[in-house]
Amino acid sequence: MNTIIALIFSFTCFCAFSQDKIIARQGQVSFFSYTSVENIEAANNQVLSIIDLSNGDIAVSMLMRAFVFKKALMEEHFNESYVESDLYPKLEFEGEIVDFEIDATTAQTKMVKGKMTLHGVTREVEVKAQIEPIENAYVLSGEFDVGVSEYEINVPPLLRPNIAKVINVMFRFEYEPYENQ
Amino acid sequence: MKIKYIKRIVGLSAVLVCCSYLYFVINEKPSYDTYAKKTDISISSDKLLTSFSTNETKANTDFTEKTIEVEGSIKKITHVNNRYTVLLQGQSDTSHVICDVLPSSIEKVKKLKPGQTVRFKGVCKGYLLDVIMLNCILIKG
Repeated sequence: MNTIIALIFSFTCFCAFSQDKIIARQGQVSFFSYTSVENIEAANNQVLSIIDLSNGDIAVSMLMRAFVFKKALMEEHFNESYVESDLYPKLEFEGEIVDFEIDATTAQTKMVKGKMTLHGVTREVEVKAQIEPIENAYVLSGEFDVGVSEYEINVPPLLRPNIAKVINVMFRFEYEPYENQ
Repeated sequence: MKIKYIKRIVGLSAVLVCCSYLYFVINEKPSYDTYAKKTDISISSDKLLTSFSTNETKANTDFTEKTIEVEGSIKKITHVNNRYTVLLQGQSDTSHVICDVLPSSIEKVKKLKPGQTVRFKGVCKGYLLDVIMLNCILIKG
């Protein structure tokens, strides 16, 4: 986890002097859990991400407590029982956009590969993402599935019917050149 | 005999109604009501940012999940992913206090300008590169 924080900060230090870095301070990550008992959804609209355009390196960091639910009880269960936000306050991702084409003028679909740390567990992940150039920057979006058990998230037996075993995660980051922030 | 049964049915119905009410009160309660929350801490955006950048662990204990009134100068106002957000300046140009605005304050926020000093009340969620505050309402500005 510290490696990713260091990466973000090193990105930040270099960003002031480089036009190669782009930043999204208000990226959106949302997730959906579909079961026959209930559907649960939440969104985090304050996700931080930085891309180094020179090599396609990407870092993402988000606060688990910043996920907003429709109901207070869901939020409480999520933070206290499932992801244990006090112990593991952040989700971190560090990786690269494979074969990133900096000069592409149209949307490109690429694989994003790297290590994701959630609930104290680090795993290799590979996600398909669409990268669309906009004025001076990019929008990166996509979706992927996360197995609850892969990250050692324990759901109490009583609530197992309410929580899907695989959670659908969607993301959208609108990047800007760092100098414009 | 008949009256006894009726009393039991009425009693059971009353218990069911109470249980249903409690279920809805607990389960359907909205996630956070800034208006109803008492302010725990009033602080400037600069001091809040300095606290987190100096000692994040201590600042998390002091501020995270607390209802905070934060005052500072507006760096910029954004509308991304259908959310209105106000970024308050600190001493550093790289870090800000990000105030995610509740719908009730959006019309007032639209009239604000960069450089203006404002005060928001919201819940502090922690620190990434910026301090994140959610459910913010405009108190002054």
